[in-house]
Amino acid sequence: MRGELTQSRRCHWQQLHVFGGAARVYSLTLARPRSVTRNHTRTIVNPYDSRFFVGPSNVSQRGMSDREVDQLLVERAQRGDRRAFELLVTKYQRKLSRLLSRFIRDSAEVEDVAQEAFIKAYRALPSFRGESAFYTWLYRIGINTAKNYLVSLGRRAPTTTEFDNDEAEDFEDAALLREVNTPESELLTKEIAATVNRTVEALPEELRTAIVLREIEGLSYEEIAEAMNCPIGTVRSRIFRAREQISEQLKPLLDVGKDKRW
Amino acid sequence: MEKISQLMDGDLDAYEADALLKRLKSDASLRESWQVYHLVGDALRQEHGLTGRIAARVSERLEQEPTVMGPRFTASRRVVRYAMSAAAGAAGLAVVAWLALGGLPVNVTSQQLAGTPDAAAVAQQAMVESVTAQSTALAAETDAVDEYLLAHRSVSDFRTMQGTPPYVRPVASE
Repeated sequence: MRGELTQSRRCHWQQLHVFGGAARVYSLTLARPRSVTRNHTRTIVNPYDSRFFVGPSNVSQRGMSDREVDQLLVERAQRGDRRAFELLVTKYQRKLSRLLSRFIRDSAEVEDVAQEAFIKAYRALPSFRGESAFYTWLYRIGINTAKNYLVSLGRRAPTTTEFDNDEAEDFEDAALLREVNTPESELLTKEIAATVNRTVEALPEELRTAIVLREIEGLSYEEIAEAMNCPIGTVRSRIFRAREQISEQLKPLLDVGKDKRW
Repeated sequence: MEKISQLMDGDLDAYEADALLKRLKSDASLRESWQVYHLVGDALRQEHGLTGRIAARVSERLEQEPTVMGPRFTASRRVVRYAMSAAAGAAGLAVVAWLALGGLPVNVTSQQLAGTPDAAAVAQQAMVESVTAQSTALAAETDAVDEYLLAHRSVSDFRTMQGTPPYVRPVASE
């Protein structure tokens, strides 16, 4: 999928993009890409052209990386802030579950092992030095927890070569995923997915494009601004508005307002 | 809420992010946005199990866990570095002050350092006698030099004295 979009960005005016396999199709219209490379060196066409707004002053170089934000949360958790650790759990619970579901079939078992892995990670927080990304560290704990669990049941545990750190950082092999939800959680999962998809389809085109490029393609604000030919501030606003509109549709499905987690 | 969106996308600097994380600790509505926004992203990416029961269960378990003690390897590094620098500076000042107050004789030997307080006192007395003898010898040597200079003042070239005009004679030495 990532390759399809990259290829399409080489073209001038674009077309249809397919994300998430056959299940979801989002139609995106992207602007003509300028002479911009990944390392943000730009060819200035006409600095007096009001449309040429992406320049060094507009390039966001201040932002913290995902890893740095995680590190901030870890440091707060290490100082006794449990809420900070809960934010990390909220962020990574589904990613870790997806990892574990590759070799534990039963959804209840996946949840048990994931929960145990998070608790082990919390207990081991004082020893986390920040030398690797938090998720890489959590990934190793998750794998070890799953191994121990499978060994305790007399099942075959995954070998260390079955997963490596690259997968931990960029875990994208959706074809290997299994649907392991229980009936009740599967129903809620389907409702959530249907609501999100329905809402995304109904979003104004510029909001839909921005949120899809961000959440599915993982593009930065700068890259989205280049692809959509708009200022970074506009990208920031569009992504936020898209999230808000989808959230409003989701909240009735969720037990919100009591600081619950889902 | 837009700040949460920016935090998720790496669009806040360290100061803003830290301030927002502080607010997240006490602001339930912000935490709710964090949760729902991540759910939106996970749903779009078709992540596994959108119900989020794991977070709820982990949260319940964390209530029974002892609080994690302070950071050992991350934020404390700077503090430790500064503390070590300050301690080194203070130790240096203490040593200098101790030496200035005569705490350690200059020519004391390692054996004397390892010896008893009596041995140290004896060493200090010996050093005082040694310094007195050296001073007497130096005074005698200075007198001899003065006599030599007076005897040879007629052949000395006072005009080559730096900073002195050639026509000025050092009358005082006559």
